[in-house]
Amino acid sequence: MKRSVFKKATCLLMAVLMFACMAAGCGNAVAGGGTEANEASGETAGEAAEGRGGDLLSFTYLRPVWQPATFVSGGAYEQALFDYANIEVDVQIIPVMEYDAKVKTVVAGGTLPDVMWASGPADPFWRDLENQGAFTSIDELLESHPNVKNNVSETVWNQMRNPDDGKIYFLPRSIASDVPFFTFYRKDWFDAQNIPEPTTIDELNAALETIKNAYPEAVPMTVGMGGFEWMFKDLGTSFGATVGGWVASADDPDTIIPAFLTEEQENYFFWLQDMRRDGLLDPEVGINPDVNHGKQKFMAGTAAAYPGGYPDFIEISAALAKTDPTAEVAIMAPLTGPTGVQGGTRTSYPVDRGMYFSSASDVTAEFFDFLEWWLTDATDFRRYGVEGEMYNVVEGKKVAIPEADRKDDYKTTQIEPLSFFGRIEEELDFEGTWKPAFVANGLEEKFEYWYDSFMAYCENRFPDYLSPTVLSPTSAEIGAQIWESTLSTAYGAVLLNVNGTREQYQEQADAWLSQGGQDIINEINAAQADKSKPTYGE
Amino acid sequence: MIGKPLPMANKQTARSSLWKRIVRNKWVYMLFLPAFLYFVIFAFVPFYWIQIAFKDFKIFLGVNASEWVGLKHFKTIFADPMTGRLIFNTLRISLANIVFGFPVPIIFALLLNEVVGRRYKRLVQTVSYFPHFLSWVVYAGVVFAIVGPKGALNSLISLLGGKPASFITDPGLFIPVIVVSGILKGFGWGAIIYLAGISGIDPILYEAACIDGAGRWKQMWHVTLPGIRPFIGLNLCMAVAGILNASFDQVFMFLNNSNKTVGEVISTYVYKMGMLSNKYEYSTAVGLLQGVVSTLLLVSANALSKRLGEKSLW
Repeated sequence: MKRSVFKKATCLLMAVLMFACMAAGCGNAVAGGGTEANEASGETAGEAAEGRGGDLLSFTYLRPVWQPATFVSGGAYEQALFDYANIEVDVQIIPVMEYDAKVKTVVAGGTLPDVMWASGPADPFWRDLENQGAFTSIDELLESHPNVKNNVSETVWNQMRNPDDGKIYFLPRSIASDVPFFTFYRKDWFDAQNIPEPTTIDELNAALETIKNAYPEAVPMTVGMGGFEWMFKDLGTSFGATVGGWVASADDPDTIIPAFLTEEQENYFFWLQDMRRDGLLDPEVGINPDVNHGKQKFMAGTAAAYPGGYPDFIEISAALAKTDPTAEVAIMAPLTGPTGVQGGTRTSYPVDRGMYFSSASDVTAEFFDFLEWWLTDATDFRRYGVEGEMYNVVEGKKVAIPEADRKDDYKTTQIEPLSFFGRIEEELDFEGTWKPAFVANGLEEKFEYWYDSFMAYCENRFPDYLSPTVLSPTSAEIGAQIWESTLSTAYGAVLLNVNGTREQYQEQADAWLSQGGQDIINEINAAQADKSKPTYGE
Repeated sequence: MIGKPLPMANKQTARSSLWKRIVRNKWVYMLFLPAFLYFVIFAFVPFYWIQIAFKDFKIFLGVNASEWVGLKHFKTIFADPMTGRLIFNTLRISLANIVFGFPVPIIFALLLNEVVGRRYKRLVQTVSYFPHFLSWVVYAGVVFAIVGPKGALNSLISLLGGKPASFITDPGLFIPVIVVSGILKGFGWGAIIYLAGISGIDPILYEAACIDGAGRWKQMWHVTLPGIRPFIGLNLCMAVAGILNASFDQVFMFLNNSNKTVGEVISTYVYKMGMLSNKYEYSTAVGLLQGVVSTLLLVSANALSKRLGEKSLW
């Protein structure tokens, strides 16, 4: 009898457990699992008293993160922010490399967060959702929130307007157009081999060849991230290539064409192929699933050169100093290409993603109030964070505490998920934003050198001629299919293995044109009246 | 365990008997309920949305309000230059998995059955099951560490004076990598059903074979293997039915632009078109076609299995 009851009880318990597992599996996967926070640290109490007043604003927030997605809800920074700003944010984060794919899956579920990041109306997917009524129009809110509105240029606002109803749904995140990817290299290794800093692509090849022989345990050049051809974009400018963009056709300057159809980009791609074949490029580039492997190798002292974003200088210098105190990181000036083209930087459209607001949300107006306050009264908190934890005041100036010296709750991985837009003018505020970061990391003497390098890259700009809001119906319909069936394989054959030939590349390019690519080009050229060289960043 | 076979005298009796059986074994049925609900929710309810394949689907208008477009998406599938290549790649990978992968768990189960030391047997079982519990994301990382450009295998090749191979990017090596990694991950787990089958073989059969002078090899060939033949037939049925479902997770983890000419399969393409390029209608249409063909294959394989006198699924 007892045994029978025991068996029944066990069966019931297991059934309940299975139900619980199913329910948990179907639950909402919000990072950290909730919004309850720990108690604030003492240092923030004063600031909290001067924070945003009014009613508590609670909203759900979906955004990408560039840092590792290790955010844990309930940390001290989160509590400090919530107290100061009088907000409660239920945040869900997605690594930026996966964002575009995953956010569309979230949206396909039909339930949107109150505030979500997106690539904006330049993508037909989002434009279509605007037309379906998924998002709130923000025209009136922009008029009543001048600091939010003035953070974006009038030209960009006009480009954000939906052509079907004339309304604006998307709040773009303004960025500086100049985002040079420096070629960092180990100057101490180059010096040891008596290699002067290369000034041309040929000299770079020769230098890496010497390094390869002198340091067989290291890789001559590496890079992380998927789509590594983009990470080499500024080396590509030395070939005259505008990687991933559209340029004026050599045959007809009044026609713009995708850069992958140009000889310049083809030369650049086959240079990368030569690098791989000759053992100058890390064989794991483009293959290793760890998107940070390139940077990690450089910081670990197992790579001689690495192209990365200009802000990386601080991080890699600080990290490498710990790995090898004798190491010296330098920045290669833009190189001259084989045809004599002086390299520079491939500039970007001055918007990188932005926010949409769910039409089902009832907190959009309150969120704009918060954003207006965030851009004005909260400037100090937004830029410097919590005193004593993220910065110290030294001789009347706020000096950032280096990342490595901060408590876990105040590291970038805990702050980025809870950050919103900043002011565009602060991004390239070299004295106000960047110099303190150099000082904080003990690299003050390197600041001028880094700044001069930035300016040198920006002397020659290679912009994308395609206006991002010009859409091609053919591209929206079959663009992805014809890309998959033609050029994506050519990219792989050239960039990932060394078997692809120029003839094969041309065949795939022709196939792309014949399968609908020419229609895309025609539609884009018909829709875009101004085909002159954009002046972003100048 | 659940009850005696139903007397099929009449439907009324059968229903009443089924209900009695359910009441009598209610706690066991409670255990079955989550699995039943799982299939209802995740396998049958989604049938409603198959209509997306015939519509111009608008997420926020909803499936009912979206416009009907007839067979437009099916026409697109057959006009897509990728279609032929996708079907060919899918069949090739699935067949390679069946030809090279299907016998491995059977052989492993037969070999393991011959191991005398119980501790050693359990150790081998545990070690061989373990990779099954790793996700393909994690397992692909392990495989990458072995066959990657700077992996253990290439280091060994270099050490022996050979030229490192591009296991990850060489289209010619894609299928061997897929098949071998799939076998290594799944053979231990796949052997469980055969080991269960072997444990159900009447020991008297072995005794009789032994008296007739059969050695270990003959016993294996004439007693053990025929004993698990029904399970082999069933598994083969399922494998044939799934021939158009080349493992998405596995292929996706090893797929790159360099090997996609041989590696892009229907499921990865559906993901790219549906999730990354937002062509939900197109993906649903491909999925529907795939489901119809798989059903036909399953019915055919089951009928064949029945005709050959083997166990069938129904």
